[in-house]
Amino acid sequence: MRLVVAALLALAFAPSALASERHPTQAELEGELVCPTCHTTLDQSNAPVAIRMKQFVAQRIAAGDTKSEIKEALVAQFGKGVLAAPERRGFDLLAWALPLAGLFVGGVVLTLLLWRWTRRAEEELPLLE
Amino acid sequence: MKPLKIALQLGAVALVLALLGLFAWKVSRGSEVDARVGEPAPAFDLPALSGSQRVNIDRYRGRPMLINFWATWCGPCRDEAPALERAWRRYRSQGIVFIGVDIRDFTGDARRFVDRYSLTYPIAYDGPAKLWAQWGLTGLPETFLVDRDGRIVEHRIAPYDSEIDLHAAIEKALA
Repeated sequence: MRLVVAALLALAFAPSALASERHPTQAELEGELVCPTCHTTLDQSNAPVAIRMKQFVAQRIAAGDTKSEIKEALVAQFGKGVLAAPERRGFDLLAWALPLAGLFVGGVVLTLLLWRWTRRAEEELPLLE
Repeated sequence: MKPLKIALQLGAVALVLALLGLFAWKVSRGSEVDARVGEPAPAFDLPALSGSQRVNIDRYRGRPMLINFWATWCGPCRDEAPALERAWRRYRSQGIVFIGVDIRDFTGDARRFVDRYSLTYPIAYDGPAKLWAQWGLTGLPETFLVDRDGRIVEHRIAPYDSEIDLHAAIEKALA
């Protein structure tokens, strides 16, 4: 049942993700790109370089570039520091995977500790009586 | 259970130490400014703005240098560019080398800028601003004058509004 729900959710969100990739909006790209001088996202910045980057994004959207193409063009000029979030591929994937792995390991450790504490408490109860 | 417990504790301590080491390394690197007046100018090797050549500072060792960091979106850089070109034409016969470093900028914009102001000295391109921290830049434009011994004799954190000041700085590097 869970698999069916997950599959349905994936199918429901896939078209919007695809549309966002093929026809990105100015607003979403400005929220995903960082001004290299002030280190805030473009939508929060009025620094001269940020204004120039916004113009570049608008020109590329008008020219029909995809979101990935626009981001790649900016990374080629300014480096990966212009991306507000690390890429979901290669070494940068670690930035996404490590927190999840940390949560999983933390959850396992916590479960083990709770299990041990409750078992010890149960063993000690008869002694109290 | 005991060996497992000890292994887990050792692992946790190792992880904390590794994270502390990483933090200390990052902090020490982040504050590393190599370009100071009286100190040798740090080396750099960057692609030229136009063509496939590179601009390597080591190639010019033994000669005085003026290194100017700029970008097209920086208004004062536009104001300063004609004075720099005039100074380059005036002083190049005395052995000084001018190097422009276009930083945090679009290459297309920068090439148009070079054409517009007819800049003829070598221009390096540093879009990702690799030199920013090493040279201790705080804004643009900034200019460094380096003497024949490779030591920085002046660091200007503003445009040269006056050509008299610019010429005086160049004379200092030539002395």
